[in-house]
Amino acid sequence: MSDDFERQLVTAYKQTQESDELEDNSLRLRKTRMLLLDNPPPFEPGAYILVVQVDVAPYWSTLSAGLTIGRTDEAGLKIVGKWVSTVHCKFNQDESDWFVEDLESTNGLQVNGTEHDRHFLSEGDAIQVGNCLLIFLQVREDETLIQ
Amino acid sequence: MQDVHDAQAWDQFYQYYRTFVLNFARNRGCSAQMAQDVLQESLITLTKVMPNFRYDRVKGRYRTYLLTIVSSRIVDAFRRERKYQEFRNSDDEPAERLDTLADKWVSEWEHDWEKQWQQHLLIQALERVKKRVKPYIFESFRLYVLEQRPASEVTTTMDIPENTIYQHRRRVIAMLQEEIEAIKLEIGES
Repeated sequence: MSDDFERQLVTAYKQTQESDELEDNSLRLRKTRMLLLDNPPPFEPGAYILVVQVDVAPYWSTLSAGLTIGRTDEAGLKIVGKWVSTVHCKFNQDESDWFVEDLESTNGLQVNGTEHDRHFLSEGDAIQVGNCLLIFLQVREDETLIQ
Repeated sequence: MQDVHDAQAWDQFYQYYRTFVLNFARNRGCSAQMAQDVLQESLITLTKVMPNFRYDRVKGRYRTYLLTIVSSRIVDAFRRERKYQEFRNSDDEPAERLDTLADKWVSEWEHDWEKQWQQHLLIQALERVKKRVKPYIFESFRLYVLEQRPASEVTTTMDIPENTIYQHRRRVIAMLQEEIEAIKLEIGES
């Protein structure tokens, strides 16, 4: 066995010793993937949320800057669920990036299980509003379906 | 609904690529949270553009395509991170510049991507060998080869003859070779 092999091995080993403990989100990602496979996202480029509520079939809603989510007609998108405030949160856009803001809701806003006042969204982020789940997704111009 | 086979193939894919993508992003300067975002977005992108993706069908030619996705998502993560900082400090440079750098970065990262993949394979193989050999054999290998301690020190620490250390080294290296070949076969690169 060459010294080169051992050198590579030692380098790789040292890197693992230096790297942080990496959180495993596999369960959440697997669930999100299954949701997306069962509810294929729209083809049109844009930003969307998959709205998942109890006793209602999941559906896609197009995001627009300033869209509010809540349990009454005051909100831009009305969702039915426990612990959802009148107007709970708001989506907004900074160029191509989207963020969600808590509107001083009673029960707060969680993204991927962590409480946030404002959060820049990554695709696949799971936003908890009361007992409803919103999955954020963007369809980009350069994304084409590969069969 | 996806079948059980699909779920297994996905788990296998996830197991092979998770730490690789996370470490690649970390080595490009991403924080732990940014790296998690990169992994998440890369997997979601894959699900979107390849809904019929079956890892066992595409595994051999998959990694190059993954680099394209991961690179774009790293750029996205940096852009978002800069915007977080802009919220806190309005004197920061505007975020747009990052987009113009993206193509340059991707071409520069291609070499590292392959290099890091080879290192990732070694670590995966090492984990497998660790489970196959008796703990004291792996420990002598770890001390002598990985930690590069002098043989004389390892003999004292572990109370084993020096010759035994060399035997362990040969044995573990041979097993590592076997495991690397096995992994390559599993992911379609053999």
